Amino acid sequence: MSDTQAIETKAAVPRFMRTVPAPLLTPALEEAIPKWIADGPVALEGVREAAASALRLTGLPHSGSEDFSFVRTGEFLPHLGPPAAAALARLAGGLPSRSDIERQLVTEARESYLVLVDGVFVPELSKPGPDFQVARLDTVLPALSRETRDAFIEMVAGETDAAAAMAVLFAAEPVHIRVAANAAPASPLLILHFSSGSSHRTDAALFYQGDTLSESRILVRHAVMARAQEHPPEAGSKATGSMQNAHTLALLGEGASLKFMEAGPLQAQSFDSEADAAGPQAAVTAKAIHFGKLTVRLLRDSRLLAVSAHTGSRLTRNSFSVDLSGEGAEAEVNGATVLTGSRQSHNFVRIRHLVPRCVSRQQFKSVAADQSRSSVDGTIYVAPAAQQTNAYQLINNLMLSDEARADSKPRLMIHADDVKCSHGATAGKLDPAQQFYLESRGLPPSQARALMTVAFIAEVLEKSGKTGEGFRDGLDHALLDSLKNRLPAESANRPKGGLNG
Amino acid sequence: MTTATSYMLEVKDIHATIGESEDLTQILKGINLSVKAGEVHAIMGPNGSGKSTLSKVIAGHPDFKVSKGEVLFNGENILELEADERSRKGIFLGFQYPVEIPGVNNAEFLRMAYNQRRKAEGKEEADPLDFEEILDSKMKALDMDSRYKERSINEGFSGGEKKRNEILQMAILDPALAILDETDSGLDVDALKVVAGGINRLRGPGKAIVLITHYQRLLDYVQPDVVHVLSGGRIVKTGGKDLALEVEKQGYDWLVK
Repeated sequence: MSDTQAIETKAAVPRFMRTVPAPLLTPALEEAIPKWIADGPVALEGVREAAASALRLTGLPHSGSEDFSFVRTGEFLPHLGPPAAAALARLAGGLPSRSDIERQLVTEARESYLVLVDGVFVPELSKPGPDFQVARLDTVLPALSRETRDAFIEMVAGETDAAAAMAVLFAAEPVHIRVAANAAPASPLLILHFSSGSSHRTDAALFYQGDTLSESRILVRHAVMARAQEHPPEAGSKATGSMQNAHTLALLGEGASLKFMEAGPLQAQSFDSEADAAGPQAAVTAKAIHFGKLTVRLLRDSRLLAVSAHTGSRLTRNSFSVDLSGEGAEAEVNGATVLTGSRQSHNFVRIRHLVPRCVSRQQFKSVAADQSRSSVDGTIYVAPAAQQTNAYQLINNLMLSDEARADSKPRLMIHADDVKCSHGATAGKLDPAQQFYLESRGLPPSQARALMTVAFIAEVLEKSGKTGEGFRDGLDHALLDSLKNRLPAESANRPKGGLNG
Repeated sequence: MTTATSYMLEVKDIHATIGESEDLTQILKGINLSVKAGEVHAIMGPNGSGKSTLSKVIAGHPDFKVSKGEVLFNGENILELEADERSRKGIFLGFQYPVEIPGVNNAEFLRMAYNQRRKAEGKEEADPLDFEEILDSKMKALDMDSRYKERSINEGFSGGEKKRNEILQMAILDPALAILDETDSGLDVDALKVVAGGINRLRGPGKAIVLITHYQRLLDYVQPDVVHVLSGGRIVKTGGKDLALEVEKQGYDWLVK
């Protein structure tokens, strides 16, 4: 849009590290954790202990938690207890039907997909293809190299987000996905997270291992099974609605490349059917709390491209934690959200440059209509040793309503003196000059506004390149679809530029 | 046929303002202009005389308020119509400063506009392949590289490319009335010839063209039937094409007194 401005900061500004809040867990959690670990597979003990220690160190989120600065913790805290009894009954919510799966598939991944239901991997419904080695983590962990195991455990132990730590700790069956050295699967792997609509929290944990010089693409979709219903909350629970809590950890070996594209909660259930938007599943999605986290460690010369897009829910929070741990690594993290009604979406990004000569780029774009709320809280941390870092971050908000709210917090913490870092944020309305131009060519105001809004978001989706074209086009439609009838015909007001940073 | 319908465009005593109450500026102070089908009119005038405002008032720009007068298009008062409705009735405004719209593909936008026009005429949407053919032939006539199809609207276009893109849009929409606001500014001679060729191709018995220009130069290539001089929000002189030559020679001072 016309009022895009960015603040450039090239100087090295030493800042202090954040402090960790006082560790606090509920007695119920304290009691449940050792029992849960002791009752689980022996192979998972190390990973779960690491998650538990991270959780104890971090404590449950509270109103002052930096990780949840723009999120009202009261909305999700009741969900962060030990897993409910119902959650422990494997696949109690049933399985998705063939047609449930069919309509989530995209052309490029018809022969290469994984099905998870309420966080549980269902091998009999999955078809990972020959180049992705997929198994339950407990079955493969003992056979992994010590290096890989230690790296995963270190990533888990370093977790500072309580919900993400809980996803790893309480996921009943963490999944391990591996692409072998030098392998480059022709198709992307589509990961389908189905929800049965159950009222309890569902935890999922995926461990991705991209070996040296491997090259792969992962697409993620979240869907609700057709026969899903809204369940009444369990007796004694203060939690309402469901909560999907998923954590993906990726370890990229030397020269490995991962392109990761995730469609978060969408109003439209299917990428190409408009009729779905108002269905019962859409209601389940709207009321759900979605927490997703992607944690990536990049070794020398490895590459990450992540694009995440969704239309929000009662509360959606996406978190990205990327460690550039090997020289020459490059990470690009992008997000697009289109929010209507009273939906919320919060993005939290931490990029850590730990070694010299790495590159990171971020772009987050949000469209906020009605009374929706969005936020992006992103920090680029540059360690003292990480000289010649090149890092960039931009947050753009398009406000379609005076009652919508967008918070942006682009931040740099630079401890090295030879770096190139920039960050910025903008907020604005649709440009009336552009709107008049389109209308003067005969496009009705609603079409003109939709076109401009999609153009705003398209920049982020296009960053996915050839990651999954069918997937991207579907997402594009799904995002636009959510704005149907939400782009009032009145002329746009003069834009108000806003800077934040 | 009544007198009212024999003109394609009739601007009657138009007074127009811009801005809000405290900050209101009167720009047009009683403009009268009548254009018949088949005619080419040129409107000349010094900077700030109201030429661009007149074009925007006719096209329906929301920033300008008409405080008095009416604008008839084929006998119908169009002041109550929105800009998009006026466009679909066959009015085209070529912008002096076409805006860039990053992220909106030029060819796709042209197809949407073309289909809106067809819809208004009660026709079916064009087959994308048929449209592509139309687009290719119009682009060729304007000596435009096909890569302009892949780009976003006007994004990164040079001044001349933007003007060519305006004429391309005009050619695609085939309007009854084209108002071209300083389409000649910023063009070198070769580009001017190409653009003038595009304007002349539109010319015909059912079409009317209003050229807004500072200079006589464009009028060497597109011969006007009537020339008006606009100054201080009013038309101060109307004549034949000789008037443009006179203005070129003597400037505006002798008319503005």
